[in-house]
Amino acid sequence: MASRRKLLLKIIILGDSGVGKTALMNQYVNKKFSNQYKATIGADFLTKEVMVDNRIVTLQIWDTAGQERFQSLGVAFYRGADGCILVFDTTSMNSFASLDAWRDEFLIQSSPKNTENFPFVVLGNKIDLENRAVSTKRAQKWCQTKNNIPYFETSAKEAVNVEQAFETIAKSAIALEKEEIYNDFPGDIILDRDNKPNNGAACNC
Amino acid sequence: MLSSPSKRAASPEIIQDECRALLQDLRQTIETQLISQVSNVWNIFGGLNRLHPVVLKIFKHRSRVFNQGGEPDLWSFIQGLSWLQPCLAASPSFVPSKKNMYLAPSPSRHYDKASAWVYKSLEAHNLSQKLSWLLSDREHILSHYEPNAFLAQLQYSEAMLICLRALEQNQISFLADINSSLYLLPKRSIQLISKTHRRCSSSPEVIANSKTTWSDTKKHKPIPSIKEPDANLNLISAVKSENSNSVESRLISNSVECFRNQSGDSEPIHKSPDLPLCEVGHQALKKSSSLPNLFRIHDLSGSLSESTSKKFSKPRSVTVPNSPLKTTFASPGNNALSPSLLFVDYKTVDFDRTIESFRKYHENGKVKSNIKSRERKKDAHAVDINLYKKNHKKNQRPLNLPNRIWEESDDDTNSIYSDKLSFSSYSTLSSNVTQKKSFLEDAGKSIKHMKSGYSFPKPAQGQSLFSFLASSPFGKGDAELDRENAHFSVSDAMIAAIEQVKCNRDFNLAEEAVDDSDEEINHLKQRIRLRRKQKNQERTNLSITTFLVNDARTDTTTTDQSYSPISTSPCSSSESISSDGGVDLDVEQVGNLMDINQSGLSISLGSLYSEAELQRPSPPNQGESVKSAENVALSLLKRFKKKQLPAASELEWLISEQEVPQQLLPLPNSWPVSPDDAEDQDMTSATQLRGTTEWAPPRSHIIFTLHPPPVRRVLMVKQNYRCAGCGAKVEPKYIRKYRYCEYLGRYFCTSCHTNQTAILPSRVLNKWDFSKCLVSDFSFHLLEQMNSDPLFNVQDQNPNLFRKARGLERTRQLRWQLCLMKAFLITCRFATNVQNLMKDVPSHIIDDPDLYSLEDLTQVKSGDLPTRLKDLVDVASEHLSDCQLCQARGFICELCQSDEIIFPWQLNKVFRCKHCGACYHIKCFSSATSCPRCERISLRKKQKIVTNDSAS
Repeated sequence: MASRRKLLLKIIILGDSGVGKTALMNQYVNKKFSNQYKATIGADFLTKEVMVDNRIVTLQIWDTAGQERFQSLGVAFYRGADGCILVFDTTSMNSFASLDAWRDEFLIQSSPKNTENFPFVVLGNKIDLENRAVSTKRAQKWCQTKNNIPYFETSAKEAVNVEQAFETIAKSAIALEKEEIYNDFPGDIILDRDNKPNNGAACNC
Repeated sequence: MLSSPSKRAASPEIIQDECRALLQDLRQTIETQLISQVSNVWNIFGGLNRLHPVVLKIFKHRSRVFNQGGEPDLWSFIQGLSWLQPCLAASPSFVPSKKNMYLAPSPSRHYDKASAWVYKSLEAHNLSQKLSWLLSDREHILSHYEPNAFLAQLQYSEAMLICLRALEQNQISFLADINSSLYLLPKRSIQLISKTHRRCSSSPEVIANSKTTWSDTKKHKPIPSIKEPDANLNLISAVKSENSNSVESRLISNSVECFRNQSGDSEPIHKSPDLPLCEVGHQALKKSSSLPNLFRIHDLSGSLSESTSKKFSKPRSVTVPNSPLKTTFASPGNNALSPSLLFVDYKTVDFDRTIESFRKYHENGKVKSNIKSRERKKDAHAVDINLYKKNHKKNQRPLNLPNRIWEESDDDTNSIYSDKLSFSSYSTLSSNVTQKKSFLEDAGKSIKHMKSGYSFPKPAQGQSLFSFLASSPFGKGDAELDRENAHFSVSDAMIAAIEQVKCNRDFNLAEEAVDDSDEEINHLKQRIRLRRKQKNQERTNLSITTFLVNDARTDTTTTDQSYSPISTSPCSSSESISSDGGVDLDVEQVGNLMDINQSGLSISLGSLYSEAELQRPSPPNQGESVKSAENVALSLLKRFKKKQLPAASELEWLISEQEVPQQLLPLPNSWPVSPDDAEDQDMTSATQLRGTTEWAPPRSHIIFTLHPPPVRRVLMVKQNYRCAGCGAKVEPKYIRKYRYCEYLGRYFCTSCHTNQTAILPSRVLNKWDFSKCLVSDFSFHLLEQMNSDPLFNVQDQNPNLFRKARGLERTRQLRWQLCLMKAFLITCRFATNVQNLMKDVPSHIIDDPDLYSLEDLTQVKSGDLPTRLKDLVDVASEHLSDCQLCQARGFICELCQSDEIIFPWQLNKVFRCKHCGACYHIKCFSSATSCPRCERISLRKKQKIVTNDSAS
């Protein structure tokens, strides 16, 4: 039965540089937080196995570079993504304003079958900081206009809502996956055909 | 190539001549390099490149092993090091492997690894060490060389080691240790001598030789040329020409070197009939009994004697490479070894030792005088007895055994002292070893001109000689000829000054002399002076014994005729006369002499001074410049009272500027200085004028363009009949002698242009022509220096070249591919392998795909570079296509939305937007009007501005 199969979900985290994408991922996967900022170059991923709806799901979480200067590298990894986490910094209006662009670019480059219902999650990060610039209301409003994207206010530093956010995206990705399996849609793209370099990536055997 | 298979049957004389020629070549090459007294010899004007072929020739001489091409194959010989001395073998096994090919010297000059090995070893100052190990195994030598090959003949190989050590330690005096009988024999050797740079005549050796002119040369008969090479005495190399009977350097001393050992157990060595040392030495003494014989205990530093007699004492110093050759000496029965083997003095300064050798010297002198002449005895004793009675009473030995040489195993302090010295010399040496700079690093400034157009400064009116010498930056040009000329000028000034002082004295004394008319008193006075002078000379000689062992006794026999008017004139100060009675050579005095010697005092100048003047110690000048002409002059002048000296401007310079216009154009007396800089004291010294209207030294230019074919007559007129390198003028009828430098497009004299060849960038860039052209030495070094620097943007210089040269176009594509791949590879955590490979490639190859160095271009021509790059590209693509991460970072053509992942380096199918970096299929993009991603980005920007405006 398909539901017995181990699932590999590919989740992409997007957002402006410095909003805390890497910190969120590290908090979720490694339960660690560092105040030091180190720009991510290109894109890289971590994997985590979780139980969702009584199934073991391997999350392949792709952390990306928010800076535009890393344009010499491409974003072929968007292809075949099962979910996308859009992150902004609640203390930076600009990072919130960029969400549109990130979402658009993602949808163009990944060209999912179902653009309308593609699983997104929006995270307003750094709520531990006091100088808030983006109100909850405003963020929620934006999410509503984009086909009711779930919105979480998180703090990677204090591990607020991080688990929930990732759980949510995993659930909606599985939901979409089921739908697609039902539609007998062919699975992943090439990326999974060779897991050799990555010890963390699960293989299907 | 001196030895080829066809020449195998050459007669022994010819082979000996070959060896001699090789040795001469080596010695002279090294000598010319050491003369300039630069801290690191490799800084000089291509010294390494001149020396390398010479050394290589020696290595190839009568080699038995040949490679397929019929060339002598030295590599197997060199590899012997891996079992002879494995700790050194790490470096010989350095070969330009594929990995670090880029680091290796250009293949044009170093066509094989043996050659590269020699080059590297020379550069690293350790060839002598390695070679001595290689030579330590006779079987190993004979398996690779004919028995009469240069390296297989002990006396030659040892001479070579001495040469190399002299070079490595930057001690020109070592060269004197070479057994001069090796140079003797046919007239050919004389011709060889003339090969040196004619203008480099101020070599210390020449000074030392000319110093002997005061000695009575009549006493010396021509040196018997020593036939048997084993009976090598250390005929000091002063004798270069046999037939120049009278002029100079008849003074040969057979200094049989006795090494000293601490344990005091030297007697067995000297007694041992197997050892050639005393035996041979004595035989030779008998043979050449007309020669002044001098058994000299050489002022070996402890470190040296240690290595010579390893058997007897434990190692104490790091200076001396543990040469196996020397160790073998201690083993009896090794007849073939010549005494010269021992004669490696690493220390010229060791005053205790000097005393000892001095004493030995006189001891021997007495011995000799016992045998030979009473007269000599008389003369020599007058001074001698005093000396060693006072200082070395305890060391006296019976004198009736003339053959014996005693060694004192006395003072431990000595050895400690000398150890320190040798160690310090070692450390300075090692610190001097610097890397050659590339053109990009110093813009070719490290290439020394023969002459910079710098001219000797003129003293200001009323300026004292002292302050003049102290202030002026003589020879600051750093060019060989400038320094030499400055040296001459300073000497000139000194002589003029001293003459003037003397003249004044004579004038004053003439008035006093009325009272001293008594002939007897005058006679006595003269004798006193004579003695003093004689001692002075002896001491000076001894302090410079490492250089030239002089026999003063022969001089003393004839002093009445031979002393110079200068020394007989009452030029010494009154205080020296008063101290006359107790002229003892105590340690301090010798020390002072050493000081002077250290500061580079030439003997000829030293002998001008009475010992009283030499008594006062010169200030311990430190550093490189100690040996400069003006410093020597200053240390001499300090012995005069300032008021006695004439002002510099009053001096009658023997050679005036008018007679020999060294200065081609008068230099301005003042430099324009902006008011802001007026405070800057260094302003004047910082400003360096370069050349004159007639001539200027060549500049370190990169020349891209071709010169029109030269017309000698026209060009020489343009050059004012001057050599472009040194400004030497040539008569129009001799312009044929001048050589054309294809790089600079100028004519050079034969000193500045030694027919070196190089690949010219202009020819490569314009005609893809890699033929080697004749260039001046300056250009050669400039081109060599820029060889591996990425200086040529072929795309800018001549884009047509890509069409002309297919290899170049291929290289360009590969380099661009690598450049684009690099972004992926360096950010991929799985690509460490490829990353390491890329580190071995010079950074410009990947980072600046349009820039080429001459070396790159040559390798493009030979096909090496594209092949290597292709390999690298293959390895990289393999990784990129297999790596999950790199694939994930690829691009997807958003125009066709196909699943195919594309990459920017797929040059023939992928188009990359220069603005946003997005990649598309070329096919897809050709139908599109513009980059869709760029459009989106600009649209967003506009929207942002609009919203911002509306918000505000």
